[in-house]
Amino acid sequence: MPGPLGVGFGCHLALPDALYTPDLLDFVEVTPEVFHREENIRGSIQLVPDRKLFDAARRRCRSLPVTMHGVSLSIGSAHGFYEPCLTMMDRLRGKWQFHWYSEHLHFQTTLDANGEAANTGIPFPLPPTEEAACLVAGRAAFIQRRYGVPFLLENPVHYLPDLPADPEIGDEFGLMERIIALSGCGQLLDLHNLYCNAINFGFDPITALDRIRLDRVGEIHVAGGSWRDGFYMDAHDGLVSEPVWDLLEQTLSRAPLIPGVVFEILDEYLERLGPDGIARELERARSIWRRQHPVAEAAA
Amino acid sequence: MTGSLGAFQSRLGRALIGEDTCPIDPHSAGFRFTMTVRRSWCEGRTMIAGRAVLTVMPDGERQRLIGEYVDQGGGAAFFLAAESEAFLAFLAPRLPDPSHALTICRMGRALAKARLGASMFVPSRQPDRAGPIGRGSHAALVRFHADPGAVMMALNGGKLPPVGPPDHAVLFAPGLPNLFRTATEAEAALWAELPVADAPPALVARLLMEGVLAYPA
Repeated sequence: MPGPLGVGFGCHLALPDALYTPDLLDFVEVTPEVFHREENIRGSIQLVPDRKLFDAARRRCRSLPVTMHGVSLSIGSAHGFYEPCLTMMDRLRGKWQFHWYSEHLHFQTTLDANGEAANTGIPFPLPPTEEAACLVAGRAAFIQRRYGVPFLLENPVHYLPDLPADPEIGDEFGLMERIIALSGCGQLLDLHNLYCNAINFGFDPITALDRIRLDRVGEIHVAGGSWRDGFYMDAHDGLVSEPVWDLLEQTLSRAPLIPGVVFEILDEYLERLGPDGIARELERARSIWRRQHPVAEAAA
Repeated sequence: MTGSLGAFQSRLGRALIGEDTCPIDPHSAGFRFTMTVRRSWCEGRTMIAGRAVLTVMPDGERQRLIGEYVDQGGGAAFFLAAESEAFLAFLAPRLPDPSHALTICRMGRALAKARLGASMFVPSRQPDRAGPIGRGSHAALVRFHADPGAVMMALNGGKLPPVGPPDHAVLFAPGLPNLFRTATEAEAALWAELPVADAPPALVARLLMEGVLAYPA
């Protein structure tokens, strides 16, 4: 796993520059697709930088280390991942140093009746099977070699109770463990996703930590959510849920060398918290991280 | 698991748009909730993709058209530009003609085309090549049925002006500052009548520079 960075936050251009200082943040997590447009250029689909947004993002991050958190790869699509995403990452790699690259363990494209790739409209979890593990592991290892930085896969949130499974893999924890073992990649442990799945499927998230390769976790996400139709949703709509703070304490007390913790919130909910509210969440994350992280504590 | 991952995913994808049976229990609370979330995401994406034209529509009409589009499989694109193009193409034949909504819809498509062209646009210096000059492949002329400024004000909460004759022409092209500007009468006439062999050379030269006109590739 990479060296410790500390507490990070997404690159939200709507927020003031003042939030992005080493006083509050240790790194910025950039979702590169936000600053790119998909274009069909002479028959080839490409992700082209939106120059204005891209330059603003570069300026926003200039004084802080950066990690990349992609959203378009669809690494679990059996017919193939979204190649323009890696072409975009190839270009970024030459221009913008990043400490690690993470993506989501899910699929969001399938083949339609004509054999064309079609968006599912919402990401879906992979069935916990050996075939899925081998497919993703091969791709994850390839990506990790390609960029020479750790590649992390984020555990997904979902609401489907009856995914087909191979008994030797079992469930989402077995699938992630198998992929990590086969590929050598790491995990982005999204504690809010873990918490949502625990609530909706009725398992204990603290006990579930025992089934996670914490030595392979390169980053943690914390976030807030909300209830809808009897399900607890990964809405990223405000303050970090209190049980997720508890999970962060538990996780870091067991694995204090995890390199980074990121607070996630969607752009449309930034106003709900405002810069001061966001700064308080970051400070709380930092206090937990520093308390549990021996190197950071010594430096502080 | 019986069957391959690819077969499972394709079947699930087709089931989402009603073209196959679902490989997961479609009656489970979790699947039904997933479909509710998916629907809400698709409607939300559609709303963003067509924000300008939807702004000038009555509530009921807006909801009806978004619903119809999502029912047909729309709203699932990952990137906004593709969704926007698909939704505006869906809307165009369904809007009253003439109407400000249709003009804004055409403007959205023209702007997207010009923006796409701008990323690879190289201005032609002079009309120094042989062969007929045509409309630029990333250019468009949209006729407004009222002062375009007044129509744009309505997008920010102002009142729409009455629909009048299509006397206000606006050019969209990759070489224009901000990708658009008002067209002069001569430009609108040239656009309507292309190819024109005897067009004033200075006018042609300027429009070539702006990407409004182009030599065939």
